[in-house]
Amino acid sequence: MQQAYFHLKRLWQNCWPLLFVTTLCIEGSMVRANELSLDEVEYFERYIRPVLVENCYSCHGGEPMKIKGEFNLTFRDGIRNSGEQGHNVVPNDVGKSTLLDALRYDDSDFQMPPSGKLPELVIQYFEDWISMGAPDPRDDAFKEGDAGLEEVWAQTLEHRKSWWSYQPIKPSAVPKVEGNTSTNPIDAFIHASWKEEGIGPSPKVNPYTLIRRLSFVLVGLPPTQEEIAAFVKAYPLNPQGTVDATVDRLLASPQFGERWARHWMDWMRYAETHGSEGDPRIPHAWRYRDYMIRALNADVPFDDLVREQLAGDLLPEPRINESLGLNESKLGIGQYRFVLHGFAPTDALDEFVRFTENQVDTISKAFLGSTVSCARCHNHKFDPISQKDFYALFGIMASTRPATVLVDSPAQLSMHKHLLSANKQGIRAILAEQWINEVDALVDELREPDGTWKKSVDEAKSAFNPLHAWHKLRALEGDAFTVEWNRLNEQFQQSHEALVKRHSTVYPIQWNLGGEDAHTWTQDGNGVDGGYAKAGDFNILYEGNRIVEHIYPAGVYTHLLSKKHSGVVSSPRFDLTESNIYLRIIGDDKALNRYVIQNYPRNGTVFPIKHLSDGKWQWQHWNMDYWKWDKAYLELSTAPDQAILADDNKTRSWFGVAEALMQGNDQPAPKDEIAEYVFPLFRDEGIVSTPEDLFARYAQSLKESILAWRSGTMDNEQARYLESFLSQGLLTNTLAVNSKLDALVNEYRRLENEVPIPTRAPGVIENTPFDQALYARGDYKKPEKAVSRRFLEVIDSTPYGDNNAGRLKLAESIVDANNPLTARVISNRLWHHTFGQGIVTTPDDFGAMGQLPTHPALLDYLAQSMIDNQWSLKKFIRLMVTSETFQLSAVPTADAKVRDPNNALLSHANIRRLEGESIRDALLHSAGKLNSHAPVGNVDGNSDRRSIYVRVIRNNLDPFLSTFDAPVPVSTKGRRDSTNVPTHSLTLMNDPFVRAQAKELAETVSNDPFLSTVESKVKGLFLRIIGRPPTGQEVKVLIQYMQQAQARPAGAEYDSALVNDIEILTKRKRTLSKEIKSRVEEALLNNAELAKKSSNKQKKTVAGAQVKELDNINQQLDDLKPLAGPAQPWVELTQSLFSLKEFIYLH
Amino acid sequence: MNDKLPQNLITRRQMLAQCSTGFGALALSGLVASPKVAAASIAGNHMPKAKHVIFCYMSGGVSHVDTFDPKPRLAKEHGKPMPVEVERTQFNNNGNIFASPWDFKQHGESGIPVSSLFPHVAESVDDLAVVRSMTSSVNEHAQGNYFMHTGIPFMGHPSAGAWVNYGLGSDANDLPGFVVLRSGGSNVPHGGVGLYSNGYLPAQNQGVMFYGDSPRPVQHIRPLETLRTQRERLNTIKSLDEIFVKSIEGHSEVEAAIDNYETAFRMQAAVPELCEIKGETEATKKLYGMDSTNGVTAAYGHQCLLARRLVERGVRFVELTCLPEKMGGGQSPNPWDQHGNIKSGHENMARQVDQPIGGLLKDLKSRGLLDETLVIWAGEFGRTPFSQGGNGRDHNPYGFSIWLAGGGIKGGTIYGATDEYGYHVTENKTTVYDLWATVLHQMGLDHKRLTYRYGGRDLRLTDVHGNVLHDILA
Repeated sequence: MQQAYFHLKRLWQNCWPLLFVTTLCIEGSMVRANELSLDEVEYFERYIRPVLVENCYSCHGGEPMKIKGEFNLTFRDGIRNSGEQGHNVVPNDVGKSTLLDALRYDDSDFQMPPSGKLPELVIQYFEDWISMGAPDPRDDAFKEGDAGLEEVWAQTLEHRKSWWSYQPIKPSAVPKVEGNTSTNPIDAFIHASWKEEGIGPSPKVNPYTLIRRLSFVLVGLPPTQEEIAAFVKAYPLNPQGTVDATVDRLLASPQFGERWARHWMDWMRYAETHGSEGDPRIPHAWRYRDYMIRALNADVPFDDLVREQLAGDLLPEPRINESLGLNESKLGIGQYRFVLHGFAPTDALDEFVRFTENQVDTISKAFLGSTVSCARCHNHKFDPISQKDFYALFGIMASTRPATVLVDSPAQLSMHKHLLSANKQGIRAILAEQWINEVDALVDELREPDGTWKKSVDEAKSAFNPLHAWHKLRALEGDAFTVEWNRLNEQFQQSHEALVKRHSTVYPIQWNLGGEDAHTWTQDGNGVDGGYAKAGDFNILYEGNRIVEHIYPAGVYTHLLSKKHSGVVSSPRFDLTESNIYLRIIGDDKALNRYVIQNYPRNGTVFPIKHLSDGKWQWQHWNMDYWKWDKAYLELSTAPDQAILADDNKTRSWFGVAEALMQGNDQPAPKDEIAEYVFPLFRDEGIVSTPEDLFARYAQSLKESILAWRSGTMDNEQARYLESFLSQGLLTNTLAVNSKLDALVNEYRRLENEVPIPTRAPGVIENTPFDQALYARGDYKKPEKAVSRRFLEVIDSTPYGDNNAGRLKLAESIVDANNPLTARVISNRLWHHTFGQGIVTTPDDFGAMGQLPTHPALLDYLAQSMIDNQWSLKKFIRLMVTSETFQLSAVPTADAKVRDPNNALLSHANIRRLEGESIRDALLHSAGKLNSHAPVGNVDGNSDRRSIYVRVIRNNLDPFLSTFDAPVPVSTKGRRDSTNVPTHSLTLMNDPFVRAQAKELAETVSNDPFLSTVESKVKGLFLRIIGRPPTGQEVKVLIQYMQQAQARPAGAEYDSALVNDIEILTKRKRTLSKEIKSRVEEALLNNAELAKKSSNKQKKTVAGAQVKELDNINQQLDDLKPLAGPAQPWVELTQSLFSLKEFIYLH
Repeated sequence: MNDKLPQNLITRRQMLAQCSTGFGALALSGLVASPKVAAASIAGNHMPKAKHVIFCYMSGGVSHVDTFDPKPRLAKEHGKPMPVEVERTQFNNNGNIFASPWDFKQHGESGIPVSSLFPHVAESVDDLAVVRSMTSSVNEHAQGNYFMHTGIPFMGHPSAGAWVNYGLGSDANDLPGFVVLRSGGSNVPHGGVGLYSNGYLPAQNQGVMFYGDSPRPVQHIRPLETLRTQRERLNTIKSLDEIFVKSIEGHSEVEAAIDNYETAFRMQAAVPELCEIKGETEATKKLYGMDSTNGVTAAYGHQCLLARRLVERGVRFVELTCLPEKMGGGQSPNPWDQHGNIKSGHENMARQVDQPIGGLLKDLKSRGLLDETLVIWAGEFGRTPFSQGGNGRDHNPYGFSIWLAGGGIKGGTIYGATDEYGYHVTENKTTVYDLWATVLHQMGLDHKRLTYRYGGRDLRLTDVHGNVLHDILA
């Protein structure tokens, strides 16, 4: 009660406007209700209207469908007389006003509001109001329908806006407090609050505890012995100077980033897998972790970090890390991908809405301290956040597509591109000339083919092959020749007509990727440029004797310069109104083709994928009946680049796409047409009646094709025609023919070899934005009007417009000077991690369901200083840890114990348990085993690296860290739990990992020649683990243990129960072994098949249960036997010190 | 600030919960004498009927039309196409109507029909309330499992067992209040251990895994030294910790952490004692099928017997895990999931669990424990009345059967119905929220008032849904 009183008192003192202390004047009402006095109106507006709006209107006003019991409380006559009985409010008659009965909860059948009784104080206001005549300026009921609802919301919003966290930041002057000698402004504010409560601070903490506190808070590790010694020595001479210097050293340490990035990762629910069935990895997730560590070490301003997290891929001037060759900014968008994904959902829209909601939830909590996703189904129940706000942000998130993206610097991504391109043109020119010279000789080859030509002509059985005509005609003469030519010509004409028909058919959706349609597709990666390649583009092989691999028709290709380049190419989003999708594609090395339903990035039973592995053109068909009416897009990606299905081992991969379309079952399936391949041969209408006529045609068509290729003006048919001759080896395409060519090709290959393999990271790809429809009551089967993409209306409701990246604008809104939330939220987060308790103790919720700030003026002062210091996090943290407040002892004064038991006023330091990461790191650190190098990727929990590098596999979280409350990564976690369960004790008592560290350290110390006596060893151990010398009493306890332990006999003699156990188990083991042996022998006599199996298999087959029991017993014996050996007093003692509360609690 | 009062209570409760030691009933010990009173004051206003829950989770999805929901029409129209529109299935390999390979017979006084897959459970049919109208909103294992356990189809939320413990505390001092049993290669269903998570509730409410037939039933439960050595060590630790606590002039959380070591020490003895089922008669073991030559039956029997022993010791919520079809067999996270060959698959699975669960029901009853123990039998969804690939069945979340027994449940009840094909619910559609609302109700908790404030909302096991199924209550 003391506490509640104290809390309330603080509220009043700080004068944050409370929910029901709002002033709200509506001029119109005042004019019409002119019989009321100003005081009466003021009373109604202050004490009555807000309560009605907040608690009653949702059922008794606004929406006509929802006026329950016909009570309409939105206007004067309604509140007085609507409903079945009337006389709800009888002016001047408290006794007759039934509304009061309901508010008082007297009658169990008639209690309002149903969510819970209002505070007595509020009910008193209603009584007083009725007693004064129930003055009510509201003449008219709310309009029916949407307009009425909007009016209710407008009023609700208006008064919820007055909640403290939405008020502009109002930095007050640093208070001058008598007795405060500190120059640090934090101390002045804190000191002032002590004065108000009549308490004083605890004394300063001793230097041992202080250096430990500084070290854990700033770098998450205990100080080394040397650091302790230096600090303790310097401190008495110049306390504050020593603290300042130490803080500077720790802030500059690379381990600062490893500590604070972990906090940040809690806010962004960092994980390396997506969870659910299969728990697929998020490829390269760890790069986000390393990026955060670098960013915090470099003290990148917080507003820039927010921009990077939201829209790092869209920044006009991204932060380039020259030494690593990375685009740091782009790594920030990895956070979008830490969502959970279900496995093969049959309802993909449900999945889409859920994971997009999680993105909104995370961003709004992490940066705004707002629970926006609570407004998915209805306007927020407590905060000034509308359902529309939720869908406005939803639309911004939904306009992206999950992907694996490239994070190299632009220079890396484009390395040698110009040179390769120029080189390629040189190769083309030489080859073209070579080929033109070869054309005339071709005719001779055709006349009397041998070698390659003969083989080609012999095998040209397919009408798609240009040589097919000669294949068919070569044995014919005279009329027979003409007849066959006419047949071939007829076949061509039919195919041509079919082709023309297909090209003129209108499909529900169709894209020609060899034309302007390519610009409507999303193209990401350094192998594509947003446009398309013209017909005749080609690629050079990076090795081997052949030079050109393929000549292509127009389309989008990823590998025209190098197969190391990447590409993610996807269609616009469309409605699946028809049954069939066709894509005309080519690719190899596990390039991936799939359709994507509602942005779902995984594969699974009803989410098929197709790997391209033959380098041949094909029409990929997808039947879409299952997904009809869902939203979809089509996606192609090089092997390492899909969002989840990425194959990192494929460093070279490629694909091309020329056409895509959707069609109904009544339209014929598109297919390759002969005419597309042999058009140049049949183009002329002249007569072909002899072989020479045909040869002339071959020569002419080929020559024209080559010339067109050289000049870059060829059409698709010529490209396919030339490709056919090339692929059959009929044109020169090898090294060692032309030395100039060789030189160019070799140079090309040398450059290509230097093209770096891109660095990949999780991210999203920006897409054509769309406004998301609001879902009625959150039900995605009930879409209503679309909501413009914009920020929260309580701060700025201006729509972001149609043609832009909403994420970038959202980032700007979040860090905008007019948004008071962001600076307060981050200031409070840093405060929380520094002092162990936020100024707002609910760091993820600054709304009405969260707690009020204990020091509002200080919070505003800090938020403003954050902005004034260009959002420097390090400066901010420095200010906090160098304050005197930070340096106080954890022992409360007698006054503080009574008046401020929760230490809201920080008159002493908070005692808090270390995070799991710090406990694990401290174990390794004390044992001298901590490896301070960052791994590439992640590590197992048993490794010697810092805990931040331990892998975060959602379905298999690290048991040690989980035990000590590492978060389950699902949404923002600004304040970790600090629980107390026996599992903690069992872990510190019995975990082999802990034991191993104890052993390591025990050996070091017991072998240390400088620690010669038991006493000195004991003291050394204590100092290394606890960070201070033990007191005399503590030394006594420790030495006593050592004496006792060293006098102890071996475990077997010491613990008779142990011997007994071992005996019993050993006996049983013998019996079992015998039984298994005899069973196997017996079985072998009758079973020849058994003899072929391994001995282990034989045993398991015939005596499975016995083998299992034996394994079990062996395991137990393994556990017990070491215990039977001699005692290991030093190891025991060391491990005991690891179990001390002073080891795992910071004080 | 109209909810100041309950908010303070919760905050204080949460604070106390964080400071408590052990798994015990200490959440509210500072405020009230008995955990039951505590629960009533927070979340309920009626007397509890049940004290414990045993949740036999049939991971993978049991076919209702082959077990507790007979559909003669399937036999009549076997091989014909479904006459109604077929919803999206997970494998989209939908065949024709597929008759049940098993016969149904009426059992007990109530005459509830049960297929020949469950002869032992059928003997206790008069104790069961069969809910034939359960539904799920998801069609996939991991999400289905999360949905059935937490009411939300994804990780991060408290499991029902955690909620029950949060609401009531535990009567067991040396044991966790929420135990998940494993044995003989049984596996955690798809979704992983997060299914038993405390979510945002205090950690002492999380499900603790007991490997019932392993020498290390609980992680780190075996000392790496003799118990006497450990005792000496703990005494030393305690002496030093007390010096520390004195130096900081007392601190409830630190003091609680000190006490924790004693709880842990006791657990080291209590857990193995519990798991070695010494003291049980051969007749009892036989009742549970532990003498079965079928290894998986014996192992599941071990779990069922342990469940009873845990309940006897005051554990609130025990969840069992199925083993694969055969010892060392595959598909261990979802062993009931027969997309093909349902005949042999379901037969193997039923043989694994039927006798042990039947034995459990009888044993609980004969010991007078069934009245206070609510047994739940459920999977994450049912299976389609039409075939997949000719001899299997795909997932069917639109209507399936679960049953409850004991703990104030009205035995011999059938509740709800599916259509003539067993495809969709036609009567008394039931959700997982209704199930848990009912379970909490029987435990003396009002599901609407058992809340925890997290992320700006007062969250519930039943989200914003749930109705108590009064029709199945005695």
